[in-house]
Amino acid sequence: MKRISQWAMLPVLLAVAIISLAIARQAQPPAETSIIVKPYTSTGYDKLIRSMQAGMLPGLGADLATLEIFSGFYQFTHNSKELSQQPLRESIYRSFVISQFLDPQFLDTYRLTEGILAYGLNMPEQAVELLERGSQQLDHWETPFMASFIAYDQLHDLDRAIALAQLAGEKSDVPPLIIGYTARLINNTLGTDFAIKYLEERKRRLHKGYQQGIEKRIIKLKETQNAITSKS
Amino acid sequence: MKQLIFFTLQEVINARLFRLMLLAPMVLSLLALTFTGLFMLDLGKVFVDSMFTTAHILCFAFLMFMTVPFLARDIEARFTYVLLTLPINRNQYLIGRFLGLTMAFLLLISALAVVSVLSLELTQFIWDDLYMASANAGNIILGIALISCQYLSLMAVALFVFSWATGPAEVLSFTFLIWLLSWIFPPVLTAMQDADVAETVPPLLQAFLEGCYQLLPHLTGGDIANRLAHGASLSGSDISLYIAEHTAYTVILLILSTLLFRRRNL
Repeated sequence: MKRISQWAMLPVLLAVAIISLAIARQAQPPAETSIIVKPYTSTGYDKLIRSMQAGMLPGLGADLATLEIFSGFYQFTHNSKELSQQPLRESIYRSFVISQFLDPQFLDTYRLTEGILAYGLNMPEQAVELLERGSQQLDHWETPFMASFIAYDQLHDLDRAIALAQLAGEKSDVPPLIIGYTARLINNTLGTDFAIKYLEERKRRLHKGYQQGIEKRIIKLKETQNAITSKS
Repeated sequence: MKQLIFFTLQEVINARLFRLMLLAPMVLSLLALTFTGLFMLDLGKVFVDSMFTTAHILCFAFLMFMTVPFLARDIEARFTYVLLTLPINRNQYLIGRFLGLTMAFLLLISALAVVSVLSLELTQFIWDDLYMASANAGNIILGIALISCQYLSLMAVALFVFSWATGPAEVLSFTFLIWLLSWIFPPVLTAMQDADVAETVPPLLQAFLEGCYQLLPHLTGGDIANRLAHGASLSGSDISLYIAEHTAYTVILLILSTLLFRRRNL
């Protein structure tokens, strides 16, 4: 009997503990999000240390670096303090570099490079570099195509955009879209209309949380288009 | 010796920890599915990565929490004396112990392989084939088999340390150190091929590491895991070279262990 009553006490004590915890949490003021940017010495050390940590599982190391990108970008979008924005942007970029270094064929890294790095964090130069390196590793037309579009749209570097579009054309299973795109790039007749359509398509493929940067660019392009139309 | 092998296998199977280990793949594969769900596009690759992580966790647990304490107990409790009173010699005792542990290890690996394939089947009901394209059962089983090859040679390391160690602490610490070295060293050699990494290392150390890189086989466990996770196939020569490398380590360590154990003052 004594033993049964001891066991019966267990759920009661558990319930008391949960209720006390809930009350304590309610009483606490909401904690401020603190941003911790990892110490950084150089890209080489970063790569070396992360390789050692990942050991025989570099793929898992790349997955974890991608999760760091998710959490870093969440902090970036939810943090209003201007001071911490720049180190945070650099820290997110380093996670991209590590993810690519540990697993150069991981497609999520490249998809996020376009959505987050090029448009969300406004680091197009770094995004194109990363995608260019990825294009050498992957037999996938989408990666050099993304790089080409960013080079055209954000860097305004037509020669680089054409070279990357041609690289995309050399990959297997290339859709006819690439040939038309390259031709229009060479003739410099791509225009804002194509850019808007392309970005809307890319936005549709991204998770809602990472659409913000592309959305901003679409609005800007539409404004430019409207201005041109009203002038003419 | 055959009796000793089955006696060792029986001992391991009767251990509660080993039974828990046999159940662990199910829990770990559920965790792998949850982890995969965090990603967007390359879900097949993440799933395979998670299953290989599960394999490493289980193999490490078997090495450090089953093999090492098992051998350490033979020293500490002077169990060796009891077994050596049987009509077997020291070499047979050592090899019998190793083969018994290997059989139990293979049982664990088989359980993991079955659960991995079942989990892969389960993913078809959760995610579209488009996202899971890179994951296939053949690659998962091959990856797990190659990981277990590596851990078999680490079990031989534990046996080698046991053949001269004076107590459990030595077996544990030396085996762990060699595991750590095998975890860190090959990826460092591969990373050194990157220009950014090479810049950070002093020239003398760089020359030493480059020398090691040239001496050792270039295909590491990490490269294999990455290739298989992306659905690429491994060539027959790559697979046989990797197996031959780890079998060679195992055989060399077993020969050294028997030589040392034969002269050991019990």
